[in-house]
Amino acid sequence: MTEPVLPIQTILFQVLFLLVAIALEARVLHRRLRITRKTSVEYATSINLLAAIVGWLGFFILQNLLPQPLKDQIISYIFFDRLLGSQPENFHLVIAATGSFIFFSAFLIKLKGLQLLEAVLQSSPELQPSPTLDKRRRSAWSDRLDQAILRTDPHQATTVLLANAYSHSAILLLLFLRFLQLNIL
Amino acid sequence: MISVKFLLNIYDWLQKNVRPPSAFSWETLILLSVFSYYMSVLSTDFVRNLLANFGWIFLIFGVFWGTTAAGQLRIGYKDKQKDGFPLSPWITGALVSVYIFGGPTGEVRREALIYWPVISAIIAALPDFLGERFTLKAPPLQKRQNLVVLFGTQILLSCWLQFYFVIQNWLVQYPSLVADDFHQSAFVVKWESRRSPSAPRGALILESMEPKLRDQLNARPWSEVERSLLPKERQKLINAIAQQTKQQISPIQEDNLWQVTSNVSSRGSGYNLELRTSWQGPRSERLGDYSLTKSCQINQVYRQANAATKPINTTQASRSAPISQVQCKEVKGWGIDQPRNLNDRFTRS
Repeated sequence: MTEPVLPIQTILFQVLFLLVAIALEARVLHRRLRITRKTSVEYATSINLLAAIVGWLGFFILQNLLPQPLKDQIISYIFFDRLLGSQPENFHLVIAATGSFIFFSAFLIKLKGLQLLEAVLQSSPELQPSPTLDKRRRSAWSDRLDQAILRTDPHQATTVLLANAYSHSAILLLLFLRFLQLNIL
Repeated sequence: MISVKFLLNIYDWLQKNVRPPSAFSWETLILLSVFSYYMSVLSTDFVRNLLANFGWIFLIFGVFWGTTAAGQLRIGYKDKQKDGFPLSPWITGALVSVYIFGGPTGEVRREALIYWPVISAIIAALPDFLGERFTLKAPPLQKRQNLVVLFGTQILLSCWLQFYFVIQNWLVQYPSLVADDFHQSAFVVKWESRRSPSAPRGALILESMEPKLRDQLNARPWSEVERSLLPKERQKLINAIAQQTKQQISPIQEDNLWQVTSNVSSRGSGYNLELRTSWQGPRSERLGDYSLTKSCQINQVYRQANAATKPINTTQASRSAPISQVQCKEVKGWGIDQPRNLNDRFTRS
């Protein structure tokens, strides 16, 4: 390539969104789940990193599997910030559906991520670590994993939902500010 | 002639500086690696491969040991009170990923850069996962949270690097995008270079179409040429030539986004054939003019027959039958003589 094209803005925007999301979610987790500030920041970092990684993997798989005209749209959006050709009639419906899908899938990933994290760290409130023989410890470990994945604590779920709502609203606000900056100023 | 004293001096210097302090140190491994590499240069095929691989493995272990033990390679290291942030997994990880993805063969693939953060994270986490006598064990509780954050950040770095290569791939498949303006993009940035940029691919398509067009239309009887310039015939001809040309110039994804059309206008005693190709793909301005044109003039010429070649009984009409002559000009349009950034139109005179 004669002129290098670097995705610098992608990286900067993602770092900004991650920092904002981690800050807001850590505060919500700290107030509602009664954990220390340090732990809440660590939890928020972990689940946000998990959501970001799953998002990237989804993007890579998607851009491999899409048919050609949709791929042209994606390329047009990434390089030129617009969609190619005329916009389809149900454009607004598509945007709303995509936004909801992103919100709810982020919530689910974060919730399951939090439960998995607590299982790995053995710090969920109901299960106490039992210092016994290896065999019992191994079955307790798989039990813990099973419980983490199958059962859901409602208080924890609403906390993660609230935290997710805060961080996504902040991200939407930042995107709206950028939209204003590009079009009005 | 090199004197013996000189050689003895070199040997002394080597002994003082390069000799490892003890047999069990990282310098030994580096020396072993250099030795293996030197031996591999001297040998052939299979043994050479084996020795080159050994050389790399010794180098990796030596660097890992050396960098992990050294205090200067940590960020924020102050004596032994504050442990600092070790850089050694990343240095070792770079060597391991270069080795895994093509190091010994000399041609490093791009996966080396993409997986470098992940491999470094694995190397950094290895001490916590290995128990006594190299068995796998679960890491201790207090380190687990740090490990989770470590792996998370490194996998995210790998995703960013992979995204860079996905964009490179797209630009290889759609080279005409490079000729366009990326200022509005929220995702990428392009360093403008001072050199004159390469022309959009449409110019290549039109240029390659010219010889084929000449074949069909040059030096033919005038009536035949006129017939093939009629709208339907012309459309078929241009489409066929365009298809052939696109097959010929190593086809890539974006070729079917260049539509070739033609236009004919009469000019004097001949015709003006204008080939126009316009870009249907992603572009920065919705209403901008993204087309390239090549105009060709088709004139009648009268071939003068020599007196020597003229048969005795030719009639008057065949001597002055007109044939066509095609002359084409350069390709003009977007990216060639028009400015690349269509927003800068006001700077043109």
